[in-house]
Amino acid sequence: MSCRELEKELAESARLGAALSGRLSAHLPDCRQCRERWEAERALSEEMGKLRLAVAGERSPDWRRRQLMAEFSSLERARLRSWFRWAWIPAAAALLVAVSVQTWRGGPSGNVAGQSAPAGEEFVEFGSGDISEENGFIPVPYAPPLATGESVRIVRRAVNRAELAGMGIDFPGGYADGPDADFEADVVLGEDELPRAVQLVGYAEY
Amino acid sequence: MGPSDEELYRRIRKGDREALAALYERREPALYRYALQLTGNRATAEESTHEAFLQLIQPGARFDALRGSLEAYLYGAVRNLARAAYRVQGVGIVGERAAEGDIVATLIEEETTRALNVAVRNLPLGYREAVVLCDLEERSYEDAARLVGCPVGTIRSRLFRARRLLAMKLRPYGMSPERIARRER
Repeated sequence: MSCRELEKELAESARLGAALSGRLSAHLPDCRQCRERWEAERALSEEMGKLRLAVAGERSPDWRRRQLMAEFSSLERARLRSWFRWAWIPAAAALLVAVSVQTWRGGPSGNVAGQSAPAGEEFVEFGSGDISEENGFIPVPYAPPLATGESVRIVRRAVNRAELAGMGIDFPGGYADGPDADFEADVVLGEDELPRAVQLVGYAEY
Repeated sequence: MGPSDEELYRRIRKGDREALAALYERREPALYRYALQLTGNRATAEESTHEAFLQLIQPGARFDALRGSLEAYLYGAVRNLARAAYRVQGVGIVGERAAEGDIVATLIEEETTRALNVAVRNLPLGYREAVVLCDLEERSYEDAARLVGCPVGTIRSRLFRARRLLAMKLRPYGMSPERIARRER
């Protein structure tokens, strides 16, 4: 076994502080050069251990950690600011669409009024049995029946005689004021927006 | 066993401060020692380590888990920053002057160990990295190769040659076989 063949094994054993292998144990007593190399490598490993210990507890001072965390917070704030800066555009667009749809569904006239809240519309749970002449409502003939639990909406709005006639409601007062004369009426609308009943305001006796 | 570095990184990208604190606590000490052993300069080591973490949290951070581990990325960043500091500040001046302002030297009491510190500092960068990672940080060859980004055989041969050079450089400081033998008697 030549020195060259054992060189790497020798260095590795010394570096790791491992026990000599059989062939190294057999070779070292007969080879001064390898023995010296073995001793030098072992001494080097020993010194490496001391050098390692010298810096074992070393680390950056704590203010570096705080500085990094502060920088992170600052970057996060900037990221969120940037996010909000761009996010308000789609949010505003969505809001605009929602308001537009709501306005459109509320009816183009915009002059609706609820029975108990004249300033706006009122949604009420209203069974089909309540839409009766006893309650002052004139049912619209031939209107599709309300489904069980279907909610209806009462809107106060102006209707004219021709419109009432179109619904199939005969107004006995005649057409003295002309077919376009307006009446204020509470109109019961189903979820399909079709009128189900009408109550003429100020014509309770009717 | 806590979350992996990569998992912490994903949480950091979502703004999780705790994840950053955990990653820093896990990796900073070894990175700092690595930079310190490479440069011998405390300020440069602090700066390099800090900058590596700063790069990681920037919006345009270039870490890609498909290309390697986060640990290797951080070591690579520290190595590049320390190397840049070498060029700009002239840290790592060859010869005895390398020991001037060397913070590691002030931590060492024994003359031979101090001489070894100087000798390590004067090794070529590739050799120095192998010594720092394998001998001083006690990493395996495989780990060191992964962190440096080279084959295991390259690390092995660099370390072998580096140790040979170190042993030669330490002869005048009393590491001759004769003195070792005397010391052991």
